Amino acid sequence: MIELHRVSKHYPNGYLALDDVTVCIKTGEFIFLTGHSGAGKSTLLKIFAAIEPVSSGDIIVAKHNLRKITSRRVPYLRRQIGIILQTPNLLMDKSVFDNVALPLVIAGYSYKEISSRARAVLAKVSLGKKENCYPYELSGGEQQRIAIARAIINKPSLLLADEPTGNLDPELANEIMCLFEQFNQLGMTIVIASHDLDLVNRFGHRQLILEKGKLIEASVTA
Amino acid sequence: MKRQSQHNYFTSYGVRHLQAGLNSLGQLSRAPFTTLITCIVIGVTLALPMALFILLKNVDVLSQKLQQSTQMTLYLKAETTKAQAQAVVQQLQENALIKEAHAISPDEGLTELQHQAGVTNMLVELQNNPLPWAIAIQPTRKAQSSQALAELGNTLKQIPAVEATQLDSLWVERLCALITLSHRLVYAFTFFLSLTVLLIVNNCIRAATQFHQKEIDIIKLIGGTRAFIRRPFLYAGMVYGILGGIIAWQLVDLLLLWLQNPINHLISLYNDTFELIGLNVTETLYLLLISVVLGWIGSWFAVTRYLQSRRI
Ligand SMILES: Nc1ncnc2c1ncn2[C@@H]1O[C@H](COP(=O)(O)OP(=O)(O)OP(=O)(O)O)[C@@H](O)[C@H]1O
Ligand SMILES: [Mg+2]
Repeated sequence: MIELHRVSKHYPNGYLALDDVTVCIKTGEFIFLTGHSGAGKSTLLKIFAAIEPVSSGDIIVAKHNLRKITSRRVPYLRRQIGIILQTPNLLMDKSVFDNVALPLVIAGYSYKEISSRARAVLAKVSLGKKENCYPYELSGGEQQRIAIARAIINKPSLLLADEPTGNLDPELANEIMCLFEQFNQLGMTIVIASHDLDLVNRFGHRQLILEKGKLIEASVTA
Repeated sequence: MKRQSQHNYFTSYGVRHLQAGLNSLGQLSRAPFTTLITCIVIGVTLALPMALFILLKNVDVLSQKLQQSTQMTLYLKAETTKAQAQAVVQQLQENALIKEAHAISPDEGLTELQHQAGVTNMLVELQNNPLPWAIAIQPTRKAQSSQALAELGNTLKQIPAVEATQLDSLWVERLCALITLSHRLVYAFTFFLSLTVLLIVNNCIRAATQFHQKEIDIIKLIGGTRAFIRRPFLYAGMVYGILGGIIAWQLVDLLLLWLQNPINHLISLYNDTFELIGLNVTETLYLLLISVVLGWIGSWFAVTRYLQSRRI
């Protein structure tokens, strides 16, 4: 699903955020990306989603070579990827329902399909009763769950989540992780960046550990 | 995970367009004052060339009217008698290019001259009337082009009794040349002011894209294509355009209304009537079409430039 070969990333200010990273993530894998703050987790996820370009090296995501991808093709790559960024990027002047439904609207689904799927996915993140609220009327954790709902509504083949449970209490965090597991069992490839080592160890999947931009361990703890 | 593209594609395509359209209308109506100001600026900018265009159109019609009354005068040789003059009139009336011809005796000519020139005294002092017989000719409509008139003049010069021909059309020709020149000027003017409209819309839409930056980034993040992002802005640009066009149209109509009375007064001094012509239906539709297209192009460039400037 994702192949990186000797990828480095310099930010425009010259900062080296990723240093010679080589890794392969197979379809259907469930990966935790860990490391200290500032290690480059978010950067790596942004590179997977073609949000940030790489400075050198080769990268293939969902059969797209990101070094060669045209801006015309990027939207179609993104429709295969569910992205949850560290800060929930929500449209503040749209209702919860509209926010969650947006990927389906963009992909051109019928209204009937959109509304039934949006309601189902909102129920899954326990926000069924808030569909007519606006994001600013919700708590941080609730906003994060909207972002999660939006990322999974289109049943992407790859889910990239940056601290998806950061604002959630342990119980809810657990629920959301179980949801991810369910999707993983249906074949979705999942990459979760988190520094919540408790959580990571509890679920025990393959871990990628970043330290100062270097990938120092890629171990499978079964 | 198969993409469901079979379901009534066209309905949802139409619905999406409608949504985008309504969305942009909503956004524009949320800032009615700014929108109104912008539309008025566009309207005035479009009204200027339109007003010139209409002015020219009216001058065109007026000059045609004037041209239709172009006369030709044949001056006969000094020794020509009344009978000879009438024979020439007879001959001329058979000419297909001549609508009307009548003889003017030297006395009549003198009176007319006195009327026109106000040189009564000088002429009265002349003892002999120096004027020859003359024939005033009103060519038919067909012969009204300057070329046809020149040819007619040459033919008539062949008549033995004719000393000289005189055409009253020189100033009409000058007017025509001036009108042709003005047409070009109006085209150039229209071009530059259209460009201005384009830039106004471009500027507004660029501000709008900046205002919606976060929204656009999110839409890109979840797979919105450029076309999808562009759509509401294109609608907004088109709304600016059409509202500006309607304002221009109304302004021009008001201008005509305002001018009609003084023009009536002016024309009545010449014992004539003249109804100002405004934009006809086709021209109005053109005006609106052009303004919509200008709005569309202006916003297309604005959004495209914005999309190229951001890498997400
Ligand atoms: N746009 C940017 N321009 C320059 N440097 C950046 C940019 N974004 C991130 N960085 C730098 O890159 C490094 C890695 O950032 P990144 O956001 O990937 O860290 P992270 O592992 O996600 O940290 P955290 O756990 O705090 O979210 C940081 O030191 C940061 O200063
Ligand atoms: Mg981060």
